[in-house]
Amino acid sequence: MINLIRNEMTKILKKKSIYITLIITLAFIILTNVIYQIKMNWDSDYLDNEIAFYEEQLKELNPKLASDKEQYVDAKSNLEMDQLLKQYGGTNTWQGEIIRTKIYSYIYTLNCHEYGVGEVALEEFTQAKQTYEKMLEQLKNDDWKAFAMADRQEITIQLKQAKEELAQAKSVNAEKKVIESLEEQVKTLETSKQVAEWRIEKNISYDSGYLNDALSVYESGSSQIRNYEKENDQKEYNEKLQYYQTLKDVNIAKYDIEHETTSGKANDGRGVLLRTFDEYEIFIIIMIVMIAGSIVSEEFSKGTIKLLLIKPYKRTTILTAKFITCIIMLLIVILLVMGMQFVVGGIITGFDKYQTPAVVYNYNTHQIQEMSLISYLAQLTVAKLPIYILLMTLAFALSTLFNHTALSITIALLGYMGSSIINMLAIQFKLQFLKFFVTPNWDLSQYLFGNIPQFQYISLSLSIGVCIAYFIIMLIPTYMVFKKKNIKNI
Amino acid sequence: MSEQALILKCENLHKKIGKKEILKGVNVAIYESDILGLIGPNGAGKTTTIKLILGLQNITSGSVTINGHDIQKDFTKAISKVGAIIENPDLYLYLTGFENLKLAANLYPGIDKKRIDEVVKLVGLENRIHDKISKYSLGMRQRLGIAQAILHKPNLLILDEPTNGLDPEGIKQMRDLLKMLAQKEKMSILISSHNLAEIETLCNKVCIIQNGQVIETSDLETVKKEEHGLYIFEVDSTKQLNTFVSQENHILNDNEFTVKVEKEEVPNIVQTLVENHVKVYRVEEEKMSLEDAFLKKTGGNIID
Repeated sequence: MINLIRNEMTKILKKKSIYITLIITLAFIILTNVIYQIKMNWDSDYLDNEIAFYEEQLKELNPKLASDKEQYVDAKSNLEMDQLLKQYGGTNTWQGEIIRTKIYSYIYTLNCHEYGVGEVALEEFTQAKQTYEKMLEQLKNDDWKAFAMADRQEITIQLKQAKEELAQAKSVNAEKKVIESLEEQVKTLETSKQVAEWRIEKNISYDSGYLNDALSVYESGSSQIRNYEKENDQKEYNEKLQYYQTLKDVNIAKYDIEHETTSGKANDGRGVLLRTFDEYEIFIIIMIVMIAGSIVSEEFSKGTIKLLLIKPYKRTTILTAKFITCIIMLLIVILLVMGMQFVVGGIITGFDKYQTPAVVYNYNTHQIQEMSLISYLAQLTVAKLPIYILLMTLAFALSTLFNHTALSITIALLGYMGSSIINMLAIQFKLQFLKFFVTPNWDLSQYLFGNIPQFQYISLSLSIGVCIAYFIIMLIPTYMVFKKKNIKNI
Repeated sequence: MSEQALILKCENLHKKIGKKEILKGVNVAIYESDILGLIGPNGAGKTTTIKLILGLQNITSGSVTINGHDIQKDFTKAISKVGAIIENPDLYLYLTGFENLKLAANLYPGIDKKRIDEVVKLVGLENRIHDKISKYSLGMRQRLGIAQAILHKPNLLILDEPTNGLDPEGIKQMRDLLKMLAQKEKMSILISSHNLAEIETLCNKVCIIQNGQVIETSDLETVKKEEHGLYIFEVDSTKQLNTFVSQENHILNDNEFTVKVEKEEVPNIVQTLVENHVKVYRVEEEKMSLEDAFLKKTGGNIID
């Protein structure tokens, strides 16, 4: 048996086709990693266009006409904001964020005052002007911390007020609804305060870096989670899925902020490696289906099967050896793809990224769990194996039953493409009868770490059962046919 | 004959594909150091017989026993001392000759590199063994096919049309190789062919098969000798032959005629000729070629 497997490996590894596919895969891996690293600099073009547009608009409008006034103020404020953004390098810098979220309102207030839109009190105007100028100064000095401090101070005050209101409401036995809404307000502010404090403590500026994003994920996600947990009424399954997703995102964001890591970052070498199966699955499937779809039928079409069948081995042994060879090749292909991603990603984004462990949220213990990249990838691979083994078995079975290489490969690949459509339909239209179909079940990675499946009617044990059933159903006729097959004249 | 060991025995082999009966009770026996030629017209069932012997097709009824093991019940034991080429020497074209042999060697116990080298030398492929098969000529492929069939020192070598597509030089080489193998490696050989000249020079036994039935199995000499007593005369002129030769004769052309008589009659005919002033250049007993015997036995080439 081992000798048979060794022979099959030799036959496969001496073929050129597998290396050609590997080279194409490598090219794609390099391209993927490079594309993720290219900073899309649409910004400056976009700003230039906007500025030109507003300038044009301003020319056409007359601020002295009452009908044009408001539009004029709008356009002018936007123009001034864009000019400011351009001066500070676009929207991705920390200044960009501050200009859009904080300074714009002052620009608008000042313009309103100038052109007499609405009622702007003199006191309000002077204060706005003061703040505006102070902020411009801080922008110039690259002093984002000043903004962070101001944020924290403001939120602290708001929180204090909110707490007082809540206490008061409770003391007068206010309506339940009122108390609840106040409690919610307090919690939201507490989250915001936490974010503001982290920002200062962990030195996270407002730029579009990973940790800044993590802060906003944490802030918005936390409130979503509170909303979901608060409402007691019947939940839609997709809401539950969304909740599970948010739960994970928020906890990983929290972990990363606290540890100042980028474990959730998806587009560096490490992130792509952890998502190997999302990025490169089609290549793994093409290669393994190519191997499994030809391993039997090619021997028939070339006539070499006769050489093999007159060796002193049982036919079932020969077929089993071929099948085991396919599984070994599958593991080799997965390892090769991961290895190529490891090296390519390492070269492009730095090998030090791989020191960050994999961080997952465990839904059973409701805790963040650290594990080595290897351990994470191993678990993921095992969970993904049913997809590949089942597709491989399909190609293998067709190849044995019909002796037609192209047909087996094509049908297996179509099966893979069709699977995503079927799964989508099943989930979208809640087609319960599809729970015994193989494709919604075969991705066991959806159950990893206590997560819930995308399709609401299935469970881990059902999925495993369905996968095994399909596996056996495909293999039994394959063995029966191969055992009894007459070798015709070729 | 009886002291020789029985290597292969096919008893009453039947093969039906659909309603068509391809083999209708074939019996073949091969003893130690036999070279048996399985001859018959195209479609007579030669290749099918071989495939049944090798277990490549299911036997409808009957049995095949190789070295005492039944091919259906005990396939691995029965096949373990058999080497074969069926139809074409189908090798892995993208591998080298050596890699092909290595693949075959891996599947039998105890074949080392020395044995592979020995076999390569035996078939005379030393110089090209590390080339890819796709660069081999048909003759070289046949030789490599034989090499992979004899690697494990089988005592039964089965060849289906081994000289198909070979040039005369290649056929001669193949014949010499097989003769040497039969002697040196003590193999019994079963050759199927419709090339009668090949069987004639190589085999010691023939088995004539037609329409799925064996119509004759015997030693080669017996088949050929069956028709004897035909003498060919070469003379200066056959023009007025019948005026003085009383025996039944057949005039081939102006200078040759044949007479079917007992040996003792030949001097009388010569004397008659001389007396009638006919110059006799040559008198020869004509041996019947296998081809004639074959055509006579099969009565043409009819395929059901």
